[in-house]
Amino acid sequence: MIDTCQRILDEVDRSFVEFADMRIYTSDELQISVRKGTTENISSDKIEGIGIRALVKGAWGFASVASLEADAIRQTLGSAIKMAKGLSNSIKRPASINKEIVFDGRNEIKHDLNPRDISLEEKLELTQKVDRTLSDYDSQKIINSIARYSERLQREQIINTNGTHVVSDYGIYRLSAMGTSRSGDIIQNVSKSKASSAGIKSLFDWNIDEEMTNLGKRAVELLDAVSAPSGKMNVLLEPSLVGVYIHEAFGHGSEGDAILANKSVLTNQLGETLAIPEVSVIDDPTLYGLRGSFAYDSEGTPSQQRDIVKNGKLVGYLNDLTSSTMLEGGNTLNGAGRATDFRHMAMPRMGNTYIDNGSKSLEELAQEIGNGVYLKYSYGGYVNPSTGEFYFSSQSGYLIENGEITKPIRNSGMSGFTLDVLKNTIGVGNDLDLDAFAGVCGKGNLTGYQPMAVSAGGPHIAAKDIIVGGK
Amino acid sequence: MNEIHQEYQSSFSELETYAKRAIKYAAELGATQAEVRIINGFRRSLDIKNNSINGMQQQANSYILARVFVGKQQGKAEGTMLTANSIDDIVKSAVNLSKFSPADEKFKSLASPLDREVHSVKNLFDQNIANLDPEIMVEFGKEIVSGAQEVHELVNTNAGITLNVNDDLIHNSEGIFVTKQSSSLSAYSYVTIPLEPTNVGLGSEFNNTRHDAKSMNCHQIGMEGANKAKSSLNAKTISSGTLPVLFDFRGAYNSLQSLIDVGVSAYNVMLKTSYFSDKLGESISVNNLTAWDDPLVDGGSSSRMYDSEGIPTQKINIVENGILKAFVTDSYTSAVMDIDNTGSANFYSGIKSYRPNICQLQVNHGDISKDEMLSDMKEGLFVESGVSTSGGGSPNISSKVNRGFYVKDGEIQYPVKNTMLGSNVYEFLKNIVGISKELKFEFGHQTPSILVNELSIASAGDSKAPVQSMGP
Repeated sequence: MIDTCQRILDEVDRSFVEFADMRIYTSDELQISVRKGTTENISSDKIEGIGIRALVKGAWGFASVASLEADAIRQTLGSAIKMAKGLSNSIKRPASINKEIVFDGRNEIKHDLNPRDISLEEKLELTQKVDRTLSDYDSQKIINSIARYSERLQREQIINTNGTHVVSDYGIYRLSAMGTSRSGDIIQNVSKSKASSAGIKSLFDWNIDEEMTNLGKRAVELLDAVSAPSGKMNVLLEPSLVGVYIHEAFGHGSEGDAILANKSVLTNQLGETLAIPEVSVIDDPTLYGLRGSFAYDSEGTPSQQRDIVKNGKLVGYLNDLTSSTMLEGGNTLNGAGRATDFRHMAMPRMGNTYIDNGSKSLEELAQEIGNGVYLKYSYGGYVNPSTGEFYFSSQSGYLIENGEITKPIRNSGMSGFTLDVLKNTIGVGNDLDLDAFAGVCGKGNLTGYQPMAVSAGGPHIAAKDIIVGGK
Repeated sequence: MNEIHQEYQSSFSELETYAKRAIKYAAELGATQAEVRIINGFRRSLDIKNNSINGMQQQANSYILARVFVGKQQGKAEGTMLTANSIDDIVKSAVNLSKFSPADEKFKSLASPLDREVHSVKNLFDQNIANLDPEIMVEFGKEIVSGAQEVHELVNTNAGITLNVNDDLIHNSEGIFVTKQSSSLSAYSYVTIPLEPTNVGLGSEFNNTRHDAKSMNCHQIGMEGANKAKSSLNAKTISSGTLPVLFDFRGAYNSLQSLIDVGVSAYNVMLKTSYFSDKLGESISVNNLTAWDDPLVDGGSSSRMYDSEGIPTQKINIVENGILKAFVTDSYTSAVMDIDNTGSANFYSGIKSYRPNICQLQVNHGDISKDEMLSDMKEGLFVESGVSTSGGGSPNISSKVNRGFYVKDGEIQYPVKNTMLGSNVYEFLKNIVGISKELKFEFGHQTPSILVNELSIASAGDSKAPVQSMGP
């Protein structure tokens, strides 16, 4: 197939098409979900097609087709070129691509345990065990439990008019649990997951008895928790919340397309000190086995570690081919161009984002807080990169009174500004958890909303003057 | 651009052939019941970045979902490629998976035709929109940019125009066979005015039509986004405490749709995870609130004649004078709970499962004007964004004010920033003390503005009350 695509790409009239690429995409996905003892879903999903992009006089055209027929591919390439050509007279700020950048590579997944070697029955049994163990913790108070297993194996074959030729295999695997406890009108939800991009060994090695017992215990304890307080206060964040916080508050603002569109508070801030010296922020998709790891991005660029904040100073953005070419000031290409599947155009995305380790113990951080809240476990969040105002929610937490972690509190939300919060950090812990949050990041571009597997983490951190929106 | 402009032609005859083949093949493989959904269409969009047109794309939107049962054992398979061979593979995969799946003893049957009137809904598809010239989309984009630039010299406009056209077919072994053709054209502006790094105005506006491209006033969309950006400049934090909040029409709609939908979905009720699961027939809100679901509104953004299982949709009274009157169901939950199938099924691709949900909430008007509620407000907030429950369906509300203004002595004073609202569903609905007599009709729903008392405000201003927690 790639030879056919290469032949068609070679037919492109380079006298007016500055750049074009093709991404031949296939993926096979399996999902299993078990709810309170009932197998609710076993499903497969096969996504196949080709995404084609063309740059003509500074304008982008993109077209996708769910067909592997040569005529359909040729016609789709023609559509992409015609759309770009049709826009070229309306472009005020022409896009460009560095034509010297060429990659040639092949990535095969180094599976710790290949999902193809494990039977469906074993995967179902694993999922059932997660559901059963959680539910059995307290079958009266835990009114619902859901366990989900998912695996996706995909291949992207990327060729472009620069000469890039990359074939990249990729896999993501996750086992997750969610429990709901209830007492009258009080309803609390808790969740936990284990994820990998290296295979399913870690899923099968997960200590389900311990993890689900702890999760069930947390669900039940929350029924007697007090409401979270409300107002401006000092906050101690657990590593999964630190991950979501740094992903939302900082990661999105450092994506090259947001910088290019002038809709990030981090625009023109390279070299500026934005945090206390103890804070370093890194996005590293090369870490073996994490959920946000990948070898090549969807433009064929090899992945690499990206330093975003080093000792408090903003040192880099996340760039794809376009943003690295167009942004000034030494913005290097660093393999951040990711696309969900063939129907979407790549754009700068995060992989595994984390705050690096500090030096303080949990007890020392609680002492730094004095009076405030200790928020734990994420339900996700969002950010407005233009203003840097972000929001994310916690599943549970504790009050901190006189430096001591005391009463449990229920779920709540928290809000702040990117440029304020890192400066308001008062302590960084020494207990780095790289992928404390293994989830899905959603972001849209020209081709629509694109969910993407990511992980995020860090050590515990303490920050002052955060808005907590309890009741 | 005219070179890519093609007359849109329906693909139903081809899809029907595929669907019938799939159901027949599933039976041959041992399925006792089978259902297929096939979608074929396209999505075209124009992208505007930084006040300039940036690119255009056209995506193939082809999709098949097969759901089969062997007895009470279920398997599902999906794919993107619409060829006879790939559809055969999908059906085969679904049947194979069903054989591994333990029986769901609560399952009774896939949806079957109901003795119910099928309501015609106008203006869900328009050939003129389906055939919209890409050049017109480019002109729309330019109008958004020029509209925004009329408002403020520093505007930075990001925007998009999107055209969706789909043929959608649902067929099952129990006699369901429905086809739905849909078109929609939407446009949005996302405008910033960066006065200083810490004083950035932000506003957005959008519009959507299923049938009338001429109604898309893109110049206005740009202007409105920019006006909102301008009005959000110089935002301030406020004191934490408890205040009344007047939700403007869209904020009220987003809040009520979200809070009511999570609570009345029969799936959540069946699992007892809904905060309304034991409240049917009881008062859940102030007694002058009435709300209903109406998927039958002509040209509504979410209007549909049939749900995702092919069941005819209908108007459903959800809350009547504060009393909870109904849950919304699909074929599975209606059978398990032994109540009528309301035709509210949706398929969620992320979890590969069907769930019943409200389609288009409608809310009654009250007897006081929005302006009166505002002018009577001694101190409070006027909020244009909505609230939702936090924590995966817990009744707790902890939401950020994405767009709101501080009100003092009946006058809007300034935009607020870094401010959150806290409450819970029960109290929020019971604390609605005003429903406007004006209604906003847009995108297929009608909604008033609502005034809600006693919302906890958390902001970065000097706190009125010390940090405290409340008991369960």
